[in-house]
Formats: sequence, C-alpha cells, structure tokens
Amino acid sequence: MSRVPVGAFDLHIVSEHSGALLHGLLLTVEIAALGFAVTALVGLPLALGQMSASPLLRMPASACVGVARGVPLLIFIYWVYYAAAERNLFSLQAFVAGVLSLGLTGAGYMAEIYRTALISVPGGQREAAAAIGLSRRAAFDRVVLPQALRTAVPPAMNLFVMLLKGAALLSVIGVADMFYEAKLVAVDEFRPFELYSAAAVLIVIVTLIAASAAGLAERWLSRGYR
Amino acid sequence: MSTVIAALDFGPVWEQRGELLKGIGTMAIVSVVSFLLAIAGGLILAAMRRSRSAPIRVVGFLLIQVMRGIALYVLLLWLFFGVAAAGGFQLEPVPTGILALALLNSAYLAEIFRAGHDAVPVGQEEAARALGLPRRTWFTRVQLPQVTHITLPAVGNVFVDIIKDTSVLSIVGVTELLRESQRWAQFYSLPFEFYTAAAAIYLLIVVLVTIAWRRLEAYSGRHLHVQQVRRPRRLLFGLGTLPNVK
Amino acid sequence: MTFRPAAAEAENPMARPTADRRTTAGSAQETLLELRQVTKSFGATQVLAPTDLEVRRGEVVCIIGPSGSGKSTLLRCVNFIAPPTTGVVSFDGTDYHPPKDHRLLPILGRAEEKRLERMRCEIGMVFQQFNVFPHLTARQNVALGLRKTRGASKAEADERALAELEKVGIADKADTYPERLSGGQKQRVAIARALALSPKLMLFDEATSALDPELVAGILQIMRDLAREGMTMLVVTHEMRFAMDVADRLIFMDEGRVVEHGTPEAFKAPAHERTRAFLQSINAAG
Repeated sequence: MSRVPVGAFDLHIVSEHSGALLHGLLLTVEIAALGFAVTALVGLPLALGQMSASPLLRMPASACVGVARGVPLLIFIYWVYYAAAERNLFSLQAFVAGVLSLGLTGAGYMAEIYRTALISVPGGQREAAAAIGLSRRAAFDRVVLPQALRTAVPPAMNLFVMLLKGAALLSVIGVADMFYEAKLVAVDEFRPFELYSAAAVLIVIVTLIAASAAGLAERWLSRGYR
Repeated sequence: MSTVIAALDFGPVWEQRGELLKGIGTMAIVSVVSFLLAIAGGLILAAMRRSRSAPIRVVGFLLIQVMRGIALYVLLLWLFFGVAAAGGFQLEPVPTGILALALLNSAYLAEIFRAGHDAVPVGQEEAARALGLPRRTWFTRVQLPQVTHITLPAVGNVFVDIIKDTSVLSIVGVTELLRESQRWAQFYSLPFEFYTAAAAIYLLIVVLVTIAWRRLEAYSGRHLHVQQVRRPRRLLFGLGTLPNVK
Repeated sequence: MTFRPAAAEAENPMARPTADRRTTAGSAQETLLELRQVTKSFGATQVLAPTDLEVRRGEVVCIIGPSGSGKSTLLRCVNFIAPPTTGVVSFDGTDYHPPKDHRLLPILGRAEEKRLERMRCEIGMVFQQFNVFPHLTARQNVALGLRKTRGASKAEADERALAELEKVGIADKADTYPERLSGGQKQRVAIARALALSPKLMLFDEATSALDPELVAGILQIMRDLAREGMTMLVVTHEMRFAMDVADRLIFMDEGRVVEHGTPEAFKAPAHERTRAFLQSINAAG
C-alpha cells in the first residue's frame, strides 16, 4: 500500500471511476429490492404459519424463522453459492444466489414484522368482522391485513435498509456491485481510502433516502387513520 | 438427491473439531468485547443526544445516523484498507473488527437506551423529586434499574446480531468460526459439509444465547410488571416505531 | 323466555302487555333463539355455568349484573364469536353445536364455519368498544358486510350504507374515517353496520359503557326506537332505567350463572339478596 499523507484526499480518482461505482450501486439497490420482494412474499406465509393453531404448520414455520434468524447472512451466501452448487443441489448465478440469500434471511425478520403487526390489530376487529358474517378469509383480507400492513410498513422499510447493507457482502461471491468495483479500483490505483470512503458515503446516502421514503410512506398510509 | 446424501462426509468436520473450537473461542471473545464496548459507546452517544449543549446533540445525532446507515462490511474495508493506507499504518484484524462492531452497535444501543429512558413514566422522576432525592440517586436507584429492565430484550437482540456479525470479520482475516470452516472446506474440498456445520454451530449458539438471555429477562423482571421495549430493528431517523413492544 | 335451572321462577313473564310494540303479533310467540345448557370455559375455569335461555321474536331481553359475571360471554356464545364449550344454540329453527377442535387439520372445520358465518349475518352485534374498522370510512364500514355476505354490488352497498347511516343520524359523516368521529358517532356507525344486514336479532354488549355521559342518551334513543319497531334484542347493559323501560324481561347474572330473571315489574322487588344488593349499588351510584 502506498503512503499517502492524510488530507491528500484525491477526489479526482473517485470522479474518474464514478461511473463504475454508480453502476455498482444500482446493482446493489436492485439486489436489495429483489431480495426484499422475496422477503415480503415468503414472510407472510411464515408469519401465518407461526400463528396457526395447527402444530403441523406452526412447527415447520417456526423452525424456518429460527434458521433464517440464527444463521449469519455470510454463511447463507457461501452455502447457497458454493456448498449447494458443489453438491449439485442447484447451481446459481452469483446474482440469483445473492437475491435468494438476502431474501431468505430477511424472510425470518419479515415474518416477525408481519406477526407483530397482525397481533397488534385489536381482537375486537376480528370479532366485529365475524359478527357481520364475514368469512375468516374476508375478515383477514378486508379488515385485519389492511390494518396490519400499516403497522408493518416502517419496520419493513428498516428491513430494506438492512438488506441494502447486507447486499454489500455479495461482492465476496463476485457480484459486481459497488463494493466489488470499489475494491477493484482501490487495488488498481492504490487508492483504497478514497474509494472505500466514496463507497461508504454512497451507501449511507442511499440508506438515508430509503429511510426518508419510509417516513413519507408511513405518513401517507396513516392519512385519516388512527 | 439420494446420491447427494450418500456422498456426505462429515468425518473431516469432526477431525477438525479442535480448530473449529478455536474459531468459536475467537468468536466468543470478539463478540463479548465488542458488546461491552458497544454498551459503553451507546451510553455515551445516548448521553450526547440528551446533552444540554446543542452542538454536542447534533454531533451525537449525526454519528448515530451515519453509523446506522453504514454496512459493517463497508466500515471494515474502510478501516482496514482505507484508513490504514491513508494513515500509512497496518491494522491488526481482530482489534479492527472489534472496533467496527462496537462502533456500529453503539449507535443501535444508543437509540435503545434513549427509547428505554423515555419509556419510564414521568411520574417516577416526579416522585423521586418530591421525596427530595438528589438527581444522582434518582438516576442510579430509580431510573437506571428500570431502563435496564425495559431495554433488556432489545439489548439481547443486539448481542445476538453481534455474534452473527462476527462472521463478516472473516473477510479481513479474523480466524473465527467461519474463517476456520472456509479454510478446511478448501483443504478437504468439502464446502457443503463445513459450511453446513458452521451454520448449525451458529444456530446452536444463537439459540443458547437467546434462551440464556430470556432467563436473564425473567430474572430482571421478577418484581416488575413494566413492559419491555423490543429492539427497534435497524431504524433510521427514529422511524422504527418505538417502542416495538412484544 | 324461561330459565329452567334458575332457582326462583317469577310469575309468567309473558303476562306483561306489549301492545305498544308488537307489529307482528302472529309471530310474537315464536321462539327465535334458544340456548340449552350452554357453558363456556377457558381452560379449567368455567366462566359460564350451564344456562338455558329462550328469546321470542320481537322480545327485548336485558341482561344485567356486575362486571365479570359472564354477561358478555353469554352474548358471545349466542353468535359463536366465543363458541360455547358445551350445549346447543338454536337460532331461527337451526341447531348449532360447539365446533369440534380441528386444530391439526383446520380444513375439516370449514363446512361448520360456513354455517356459522351464515348464522352471524342474521344476528347483528354492537360492542362496548365500537370496533369500527379504522381503515374504512363510515360508509365503507357499513358497506363491507353487504358486499361480502349479501353479494351486493358496490353501488347497491354504498346506497344502502348511506340510507342506514341516515337512519342513525350521521349521513353527513359517511365519508369520514373513524378517527375523526366521536365515540357516539362511532357507535352509530357500528349500529348502522349491524342493521344494514337486516338481522333477525340484535345483540348489544354494553353499547353505552365506553361513551361520554352526554352521548349515552342518543344511543339509548336509537335502541329504544329499534325496540319499538319490533326488533328482537338481547341487551347487556348497566343502564337500569333503560332496562326497566324497554325490556320485556330482565336477567340478573352473577359469577357465571343466572341468578334471577323476570319482568321489570318483578325486578322492583327482587327475590334474591344478591340482586337486591346489586340494584342498590347501581342506584346509589346513579
């Protein structure tokens, strides 16, 4: 590593490679968004399974949530990408493996978010829905879920931020995201401080934007509502 | 599928149990030290957010926001390669890892402590003042015990996250459990066995820590009927719907 | 209406003249609802001792008693919102039994559940805590049941909902979310929501207990009007004056069992010490 005096921050290097960095950043956001979609889809059945009266549903769902929350993301990534492929279970592109790893670990958290939100809907709402003869399905779709989703939005957005940060790890399996690009250039130009600083600033900006969006969404969802 | 199962060979995993145990030991030390440092940092940051001086409050706020926006991996790379290069020195992997973990998690803990502080009813402080207790006594004997109890579940979640996040330190060469598993996975060309074993060990540790922590929560709550604050999950700008009660 | 296991049998309750409100005199004698030996337990604790109850078409029956006496539980057993543990509920000529526990394979309970859903459309319920749906406007609150259980189109449901809100005097709040409504207005929405399905029986579970004092009279007036129109009602209430005025029969419950029942006239001189004590405490408070 070259000796660079502190203060000699070479912005030029960053701007020169800003195209590659931004392109990588886009990929990071894309992976996090797709992972979040997986999370949102898988999380709901897991939450409902955990809340089911039937142990046939409850136990496997709880086990899935436990594994998703107990095993570190990085091990998931290695497992999905290297280990499963080596055993011919399945072989995935790094991109898909990344989305899956993020989505499945996130699903454990998402299930908890859904569950908390569903529990937070007062029991009287279910009673009232039943009292007007709504089927359990209709009561869930029209009365319980809409109220639960409102409660779930802010923590879900925070989960998205968590996935964004998790997506940074995917450069270890060669996903050409921002950190991968930053690493390449850093090594190439012997300018790790500038490149990693730029990457850090960019990811902080993106997470802050996501967080503000969460705030807006929350306000928008709670219009005329308590 | 049956050929896959048949071909599984966990023998080498067992053979290397000593090495894996060493990795677990490193993981434990790194986790506990980072956790303790993060608690100290969290208290300082929380105090900064409560400071009477506006500049200190703003600095505390900014530190917390930045720390919560940054990914552990990025902070690690930045410290280990970036800052080291800029400063012209080489950092040791273990202290760097501990520093990164402590920094990030102190921001989460600061928010938890703040929420816990707010969750104690105002009447408690009023009653203490009415009794003529000094402010110091109010804080140590009235406020702190209640905040500790209220925040315990959330703080436990942070501890579990730190344990899981030590795996990321393998990237900068900390020989914790994942790094050991990786090494032997390559040595034996048995990634499936070693990564599966690593995942299982992590899961087991997390489950054990969670159970132990629940005991601690029950013990701390044996006289209290105060609702505990669940950990706000990686919230930014206070958006995480506090208190996220269970 | 009779209570077979109850110790004290008052004079024939049907003797009370009800000329002012029986519009369908022919069907007035017909039993609409009958509970036979209905009990409810949560785990090992029995919150409702074996109870029999009969309500005829057009009758208004008020249930009074201290809190925790099983009044609300009894009401919830009627429409199976809290299914009874044992016993039979017979409504409009159909018997309903406690559902079997299909916890392992919930799908096995589907047919019975459908039957209960159809039954509940015929029974309106008004809750102490209103339980209006906070994510729907007043009109949508009323329209939801019409659309989902009566198969009404959106336009039909909206029109009917507006008419129902009109009847309870808050048509002007049709497009308001419950957040912006007072307790009294919320309860009006809840009543309109129940009435929209043209129920054969209305259950009121302390409908005025959560209201500010000045809003109580309005809700009670709606209930009086309903009774006058001949609606069959089972009312849990603490409003003794209302109960004495409107009810054909009163029931006093304590500790999960019916202690006394009879006409309002009979309740002026209760046979049981506990009933007397309860009525006194209420009068003292009022």
